[in-house]
Amino acid sequence: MNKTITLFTFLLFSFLATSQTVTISGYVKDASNGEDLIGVSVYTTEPKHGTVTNSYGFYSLTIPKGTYELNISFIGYATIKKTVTLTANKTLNYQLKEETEELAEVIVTDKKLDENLRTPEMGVEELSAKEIKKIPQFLGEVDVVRTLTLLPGVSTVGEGANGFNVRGGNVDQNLILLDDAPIFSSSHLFGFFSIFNGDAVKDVKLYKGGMPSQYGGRMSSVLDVRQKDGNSKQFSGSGGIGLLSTRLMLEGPIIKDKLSYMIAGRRSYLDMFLRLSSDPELKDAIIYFYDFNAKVNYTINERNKVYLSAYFGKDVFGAADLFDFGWGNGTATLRWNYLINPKLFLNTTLVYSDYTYDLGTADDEAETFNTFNWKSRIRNYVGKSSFTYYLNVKHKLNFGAEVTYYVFDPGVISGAISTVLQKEYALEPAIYLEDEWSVTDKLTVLGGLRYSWFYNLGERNVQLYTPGESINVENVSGVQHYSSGEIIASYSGLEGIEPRLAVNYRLNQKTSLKLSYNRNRQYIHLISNNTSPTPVDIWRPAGKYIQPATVNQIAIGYFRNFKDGTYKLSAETYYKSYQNLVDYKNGAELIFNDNIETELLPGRGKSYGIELMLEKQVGKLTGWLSYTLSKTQIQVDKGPTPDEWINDGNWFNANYDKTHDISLVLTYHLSNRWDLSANFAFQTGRPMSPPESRGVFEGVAYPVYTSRNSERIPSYNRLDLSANWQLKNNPEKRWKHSLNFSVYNAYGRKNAYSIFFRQNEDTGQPEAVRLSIFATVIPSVTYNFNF
Amino acid sequence: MKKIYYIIPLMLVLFTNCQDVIDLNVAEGEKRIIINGRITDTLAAEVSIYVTADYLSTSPNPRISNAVVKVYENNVLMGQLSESGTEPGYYRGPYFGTEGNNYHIEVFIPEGSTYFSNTTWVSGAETMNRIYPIDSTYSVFKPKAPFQDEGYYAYTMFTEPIGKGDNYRERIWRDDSLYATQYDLTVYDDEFIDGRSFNNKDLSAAQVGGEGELGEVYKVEYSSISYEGRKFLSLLIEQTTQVGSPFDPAPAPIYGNISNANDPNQLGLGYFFASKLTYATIELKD
Repeated sequence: MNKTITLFTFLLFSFLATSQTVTISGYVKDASNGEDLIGVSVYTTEPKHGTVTNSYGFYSLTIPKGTYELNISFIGYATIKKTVTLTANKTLNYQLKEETEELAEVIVTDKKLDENLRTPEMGVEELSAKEIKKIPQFLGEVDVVRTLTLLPGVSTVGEGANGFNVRGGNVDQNLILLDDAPIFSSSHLFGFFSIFNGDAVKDVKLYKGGMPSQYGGRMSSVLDVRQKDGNSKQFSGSGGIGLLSTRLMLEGPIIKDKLSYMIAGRRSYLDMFLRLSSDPELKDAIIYFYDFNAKVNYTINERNKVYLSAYFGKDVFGAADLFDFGWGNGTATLRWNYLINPKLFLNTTLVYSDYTYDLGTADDEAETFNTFNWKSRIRNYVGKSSFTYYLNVKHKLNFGAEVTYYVFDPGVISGAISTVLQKEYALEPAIYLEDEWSVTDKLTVLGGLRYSWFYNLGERNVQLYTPGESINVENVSGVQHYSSGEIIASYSGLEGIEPRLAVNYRLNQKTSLKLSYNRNRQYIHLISNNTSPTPVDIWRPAGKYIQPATVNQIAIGYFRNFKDGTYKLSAETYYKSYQNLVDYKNGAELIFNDNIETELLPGRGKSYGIELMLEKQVGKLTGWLSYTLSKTQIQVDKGPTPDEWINDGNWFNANYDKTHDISLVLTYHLSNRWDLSANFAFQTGRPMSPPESRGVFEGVAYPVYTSRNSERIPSYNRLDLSANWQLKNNPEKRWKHSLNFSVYNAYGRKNAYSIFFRQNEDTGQPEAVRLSIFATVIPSVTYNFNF
Repeated sequence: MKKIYYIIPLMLVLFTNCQDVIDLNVAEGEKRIIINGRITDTLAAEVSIYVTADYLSTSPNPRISNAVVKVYENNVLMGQLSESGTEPGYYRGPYFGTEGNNYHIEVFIPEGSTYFSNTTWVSGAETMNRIYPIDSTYSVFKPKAPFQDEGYYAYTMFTEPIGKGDNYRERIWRDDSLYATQYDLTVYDDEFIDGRSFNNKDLSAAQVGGEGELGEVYKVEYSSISYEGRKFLSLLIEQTTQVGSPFDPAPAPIYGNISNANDPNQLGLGYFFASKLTYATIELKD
């Protein structure tokens, strides 16, 4: 009864409060091109009320009637200050102009730089395409993922490795979204470059912890990449010619301010250089990648907007007419933004994502009995509706539902040997509710609850094993057939509840303390026991034998701004505990295996660490210094047979565990024509497993490993430099062009990627060998232009 | 599938990777016994006994002499192997297996041995499985082509018997010299070739070794092995050949089917196989 009265009182209070308030809402865009601006602060002074624009540039602010000074501010743009008298609900759209260089250097407004202190979000990193472009890049290719690894808590197992690791999470624990479409392989050329074309990207946001409730399905991070909407004001474009690739992006209005488009393409031309080689095998090698981005954005009216975006990328490898090897992502996203009323915003999204890879002999192979082709794919169909309800100045509610239908197609092998590995089907629905509650001026709470569940569905023949015995081929007791749509396994219990909590307490104008807790579930796993996953590694869903994995993460942060926000200092510490991680039996056979459960073992993990970051975002000199101290360990219970003895059942360091990780990123605006920048990175060497001794079999010496990852390879350090030279422009014309000179690994350090052990083929003598990937100074020059 | 391993190193060459042999202090761990051997249907049973060595040491693995090595068929003693007079630690005996029967060995290291004195080791029981007969052989000249050197190539033709679950091993000699590096270890199963013919009609004939010159003689041995035996050799191949790229599999212990008779949790290294054999000799000719 008491609870009913409390609820009634709350609702009444809300109603009364609402009746005395008005709502201002609208969109904030870039004045030059009409792009929606994400994360713009919209706030009043005296009294202070504020909000930020969402991913679609929309804001809504419900405040008491009155006259206010309204500020719309965003880093890199001139702040708009307006006096508004509010007596009724009002739509106020704004267009921000980019700050001139002089303004950017001198003027620091008091509010726009303190968003980090106001929001309860923590463990979040945001980068704009502009920022990424300033940083020295390998071969001049603007690389989102490589740039992220310069941030605290983000690393890779080594240079050129596929994917990235966030706070001790494996690479498959990152939800990578490109305009809401899940991406299964974020790399080109096995991991050397990311698939995101810098010219087509608008904004990148990485959640390392404190994940909002709308995100789920992966344990460690969400990388949310948004493509440009397309210039709605005028036709424009950008592009570049580099040593590795050439790219071009075009955008413009079809109907000014209503309908715009963006298309971008990129292709590498390594294969063209190879054709110049005198070596016939190199000459005939085929190695290239390409990608294509497109987006159409239609503002139907003030309340309705529709976006259609697509991405298609492919890596192609081959040798003469002998074999082909390729992989690629294709995605399509249809989004509809509907402003139901000034306080209720609805975004409905339909997504199709298709990841394919294939390997085989070339089609024109003369001897048909030698042909071999393996095709594999993962398809995702996602539908979601997310609501944002700007209830009042104290409460902003996010709620919604999402459903993902997966089709895993691990392999169709055709040719001389033909077989079809069984498809797996799965359904992952989820609902969520979250409230961003400004309890007081100083205390903000973001409390959310996500509930997800999962069904592994037929049609499929599932192998059965003798109860109580190990799951292996010797204990197969039969096969059970499940018909189409029949539930093979379901995970719909209380374990599917994922609480998310973030608390921000602002100690004063310059300092805030934050606390977050989140629980995440992951129902699909990348099956790879390699140091770095390859593009042909398969993904498998939770099912009858593979359990969903879960992580609980708690983090505490201290945030302080200096000199009116010119300098930002953050210190975050976290602890993560994982359950049901996928590990592998010794000698696991993972390729072409329909009954993959016979090769897997469940593990547990823990990660903890401290991340420090000092950042300067304005002025001639910008950049950051970050330091991460961390530890990640895994344990697999010792099983009954030796192939289930992973490190004898003891905890071991994860492959990607690096104790110290330091990055320094500096950009100096020397003049209107020259920008200089430098990166320095230092990392503890990652773990390695030295052999305890040498065994022998018919003259073949082999390493005897008994403990996993007990030692480390030498530490890593690297310096990159770049200079951007703005070439002379005709002020009458929009055409601007520049040359970017960069040197990767400036002092040519031979950093170890791994240390491995082998028997020398010629002498038979066992030896230890250091593998270095970018083992020399790598200079490059890139010509960039925009108009 | 091997072709894929070509393109990955090619990629890395292009991206300025390098491999350097380095000095490294690797502390030697606990000594372990290594027992390798097999019983076949046509050749004398043989067993080699070693001890593990420091991985980077230039000395060969120490051998264990004077062991008592007994061979059992269906748990009934067949006899004892004799140690070679010229090759210490190598034991041999005139014992032959029969398809369908189970075999294991028992190895006693007598008092006074430098290593593992007064201990007894046993292998797991291995069933001697079927092997396919070789139907025919031939050789042919092939010109230079991408990924193919010019020369003569030898082939066998055979049909894999119907019924899944067969596992095989292949060994090749060129002019009586055994291909014996880690890259020459070859095992396979019939998961995707069950009942198929390697006859240039159904599937291509099986190539024996690489290119050779006229008059050279290749010999090939196909042997049946157990599923566990194939897993052991597959892991050994993986751990010794899939190294040196960014995509190496995780290091793993290579245990076989040898354990201490009194403590099954104390594992030795190595494997004792039971194999049926089939052979072919092919002279390279026009």
